[in-house]
Amino acid sequence: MPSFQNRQELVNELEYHYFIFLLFSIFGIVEAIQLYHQKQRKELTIYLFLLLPGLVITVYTATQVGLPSIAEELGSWFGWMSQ
Amino acid sequence: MKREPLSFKQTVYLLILFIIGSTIILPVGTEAKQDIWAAVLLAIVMTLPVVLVYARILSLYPERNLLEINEQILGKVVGRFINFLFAFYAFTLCALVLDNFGQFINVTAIPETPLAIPMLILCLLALWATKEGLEVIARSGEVYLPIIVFVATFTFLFLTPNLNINRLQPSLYQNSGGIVSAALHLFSFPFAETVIFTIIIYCTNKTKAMAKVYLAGLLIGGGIILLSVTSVMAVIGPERYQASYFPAYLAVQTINVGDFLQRVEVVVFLIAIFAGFIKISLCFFAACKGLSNALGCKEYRFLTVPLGLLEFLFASNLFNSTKQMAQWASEVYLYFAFPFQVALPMVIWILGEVKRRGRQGSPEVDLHDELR
Amino acid sequence: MKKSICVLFVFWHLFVLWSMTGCWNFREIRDLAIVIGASFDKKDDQIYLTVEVLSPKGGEQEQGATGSLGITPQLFEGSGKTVFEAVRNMISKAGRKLYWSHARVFIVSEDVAKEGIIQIIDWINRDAEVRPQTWILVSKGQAAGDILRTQSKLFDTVSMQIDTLLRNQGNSGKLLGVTVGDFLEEMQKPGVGAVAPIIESVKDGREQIPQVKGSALFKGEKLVGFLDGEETMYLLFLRNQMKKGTLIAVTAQQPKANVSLEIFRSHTTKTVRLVDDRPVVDIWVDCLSGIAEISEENDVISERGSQKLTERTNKELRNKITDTIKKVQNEYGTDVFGFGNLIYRERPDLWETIPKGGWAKVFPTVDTNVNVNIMMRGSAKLSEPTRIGE
Repeated sequence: MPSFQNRQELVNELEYHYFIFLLFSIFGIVEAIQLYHQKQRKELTIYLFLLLPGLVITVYTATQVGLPSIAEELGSWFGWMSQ
Repeated sequence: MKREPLSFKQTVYLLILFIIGSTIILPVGTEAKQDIWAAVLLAIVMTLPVVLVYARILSLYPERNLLEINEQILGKVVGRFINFLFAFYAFTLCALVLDNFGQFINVTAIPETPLAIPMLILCLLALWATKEGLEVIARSGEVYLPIIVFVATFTFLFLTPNLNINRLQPSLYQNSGGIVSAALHLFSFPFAETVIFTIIIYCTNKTKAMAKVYLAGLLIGGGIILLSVTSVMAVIGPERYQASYFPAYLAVQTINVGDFLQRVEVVVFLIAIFAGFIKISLCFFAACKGLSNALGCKEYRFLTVPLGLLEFLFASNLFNSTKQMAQWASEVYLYFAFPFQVALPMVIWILGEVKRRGRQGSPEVDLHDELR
Repeated sequence: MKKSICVLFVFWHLFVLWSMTGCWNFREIRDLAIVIGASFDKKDDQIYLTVEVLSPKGGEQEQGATGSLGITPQLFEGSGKTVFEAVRNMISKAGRKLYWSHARVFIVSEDVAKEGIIQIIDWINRDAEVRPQTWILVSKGQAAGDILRTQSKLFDTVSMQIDTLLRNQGNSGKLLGVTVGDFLEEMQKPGVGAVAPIIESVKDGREQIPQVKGSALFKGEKLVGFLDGEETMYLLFLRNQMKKGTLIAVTAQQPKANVSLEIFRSHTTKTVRLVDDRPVVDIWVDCLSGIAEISEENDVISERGSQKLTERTNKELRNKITDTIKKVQNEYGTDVFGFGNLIYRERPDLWETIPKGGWAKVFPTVDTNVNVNIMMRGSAKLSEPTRIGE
């Protein structure tokens, strides 16, 4: 993961996470309202159940530096990777 | 569920693009070294029976895709669970391809841009395409394939002065282990990945067409892969092929026609992005469809946005470096993909055949057997 | 439904306007320092990097009578423990970020090459901006930076001159231009030693100008020796890379008479066979040439004379090629001719019997058998030697 050399880089990094967060929030709100109006309760539940954790993870990854990758984690669980 | 019928041509085009997908940029089959052409041929031969099984499964139940067939054969609970597994496979495959492209663009073109940006853009495109439906993807495939073939042909022609047959020698000398291992890797990536197609397409009218579709797609796509990897190998040689993450890019860099036509690496991007977009979209489509089926929903489209976000997050956090990606592709992917590509389809096929015979109790089939 | 899409669009456009202002790391051309050539020296564990940078100045160029673009190159120096550090340290001097995609030549000093060239070539191959189609040269006896400090007479920059020169190498026949990509491939391939051309700065009148001549031989990653211009020509024959060039045939010892032959086309075939369990390499050189110059009034054009000339030349060329092989085998012991690779390709079973890394020991003992076949075609514009009147 990048070690930020200056403030600008940090801002850039935050910026695109922020962008993703906003984009998907907007999508989410619009579509959730649509589903609500169409009275598709089951779909709405699934929708929110998938979207909200996604948004939380987006925020989480934006604020963390040097997270291990999923492959590394899996590798350390199962001993797949040689690292 | 709303039907989205595809024509024969569209399906074959999609299959070809799917096979070309990310294969064309990645160093596939490095274990075979200079005998890579043999490994590709072997992999195609190995894939033939497997795709015939896929085709047979679809032919057993016309007008049904794999998800519905699973439900019918295995019952609602088990079937949906299997469908969930397939959806997971499609989801992972999509993330892997997305990651490949992100790394490719990041490493070769824009090293200072965060890896996530090209991935995000591709992911949004796939999301959009899936939301629009399979027909849109199929039609864009119809537009892309001629462009790709045209560009690839010219690239190949310009590359011919740099081809050196010496780099493919010594051929087939005490390298059977390498060839088989490379062929196995090529089998799991990209050829047998076409199992995704059983989720997407279904058999219409003629039962035989399915096998034809699969065979045509596999042979043409495999032929393109064969041509491309062999020429790349003949341009940069086994040592550099093995050392680089993206050998096709290196090979195309050597094009220099009369000091005038040079620096045409961007055509690799063109080919890769077109084919990769199709592959990503189809995998994502299959993931959405599989998940919606597993959760018992009638529609899949509402899943695109949340699943797209998760897809992006999964892909962008999957690997930290290109090295990890390459290592994963060479060491883990084969075993990860095996159940989905071979084991599960085989089980479904056998159960399907048994069930069909039981259902029909068919004198017709018996008669047919006696005649032989 | 419609309304929500409208709302979505408005928001979408707002975001696009707000967040996507330009490319990620958008750089104007005036912010770049375009590197056209670079040289690598080493002193006290520090890599000294000298780069020739073009300064793009739109509009204010002078249209010189020579048709030059009026580009004035600037030289910058930087140092660091590694190449990449040196490159990055240079920003503090150049003020702009160096842009490497247009680099044409890399010059490596003899000292660095003797120590091992991987420390430089790895970065070249790894970096996304640097292209493997760049020429690589070795500076003999001098600091590589001094080559870039010479003056080019016809070109705007020294690097451009070297680039053009190496691209037109076919006409000289005494040069072997090697790109970084090819160099790397030869270094990694089994049974081949890499070769790079030599560059020197020589005095021409009052100015120092660059001169490319001869070739530097590598054993693995280390420089082991040099071949001069003429030997390079035989090297070209042996590597089947001879395109065009001149051969000098001596037709008479007393009085000495030379005939220049121009090579139109040449093709070399190499095969390997076993004699008493030892590999023998057969080399056939087929060469199409014509008479370009006759220095004395002697008969080389008539059928008999032509035959005699051909025979003499065949013999001479064969001897010289054999001498070059012997010299490389005995003095340097690096297989720049690719005999090992030939065995690897054509007789992999034989290659197996040679222990790993043992080729360097076997190579000096390899017997060679050179056959030269020169075909004469024409004598340019004149049908006779220039006759002197009574």
